[in-house]
Amino acid sequence: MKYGTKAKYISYMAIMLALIVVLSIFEGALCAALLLPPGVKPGLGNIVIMFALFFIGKKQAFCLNVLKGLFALITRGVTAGILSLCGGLLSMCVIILLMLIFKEKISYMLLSIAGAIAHNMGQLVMASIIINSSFALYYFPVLIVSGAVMGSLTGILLKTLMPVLKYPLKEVGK
Amino acid sequence: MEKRNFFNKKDIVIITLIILAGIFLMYFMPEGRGSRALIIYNGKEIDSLPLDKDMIYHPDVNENVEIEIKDGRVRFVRSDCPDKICVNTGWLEKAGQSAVCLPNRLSVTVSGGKDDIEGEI
Repeated sequence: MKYGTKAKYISYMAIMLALIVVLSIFEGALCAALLLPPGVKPGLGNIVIMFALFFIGKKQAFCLNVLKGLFALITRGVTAGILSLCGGLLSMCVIILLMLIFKEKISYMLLSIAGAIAHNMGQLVMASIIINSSFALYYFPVLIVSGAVMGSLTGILLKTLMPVLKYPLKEVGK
Repeated sequence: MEKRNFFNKKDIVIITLIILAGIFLMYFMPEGRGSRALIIYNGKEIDSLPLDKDMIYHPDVNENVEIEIKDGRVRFVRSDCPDKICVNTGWLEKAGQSAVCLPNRLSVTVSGGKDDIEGEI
């Protein structure tokens, strides 16, 4: 790395994390305003994590995921932190797996949807373990549908935001 | 640079299939299955039992009443009341269902289901 590039890179990652935090807060307010059922949410923060995964690298996306979970832990408590982390990591694993299996034949749209559904599943399974009851699993189908719909939405948003997010990448030499 | 497309035509088919599968499952899943049986005596909750642990329960206030929990359902098995309405109500499993034994001032109400994961996710 050239002199100064590392600093630029660090600030770029910091901006990414800041974006995730702001989007999470915005999403919380949005869900409350629209009276969406529990667990049905757009997953706006995942746009940034997906972008990191697709265009920056797996390691960076993993870091952002962990930091996002940590942020939820600090602001919304232990349960929310664990749920956020489980959802985020499962979602990332599924996307990476699909990218390995289908190579470039699978579209960003499908990856986004698969990620959203995996995110929901991860949270649901963890929630069942936490409340020590398998009955939460009846919620499974609701989350599949919401994952498909919200995943499409975040996919479209990702496509729209791509040029903006990508612009500073040249600066850090990626 | 990446060669991956943003959207392939066949994606529409896959997305539709996923949504249809979800709706199909939604139709078959028992909506609002309960997770706990609340034992209520004289209008006050005296006990709360998890529905996922099979057990036989006798309320402290009346040992002649037997309540059974099995396979996520709950029922009055025996009661010393004359009318046996509580026993005849049979199994309860959905949130909000209840069986009442008026002579003994005892009732069982199923709670949970949707309310349980509200706020958790």
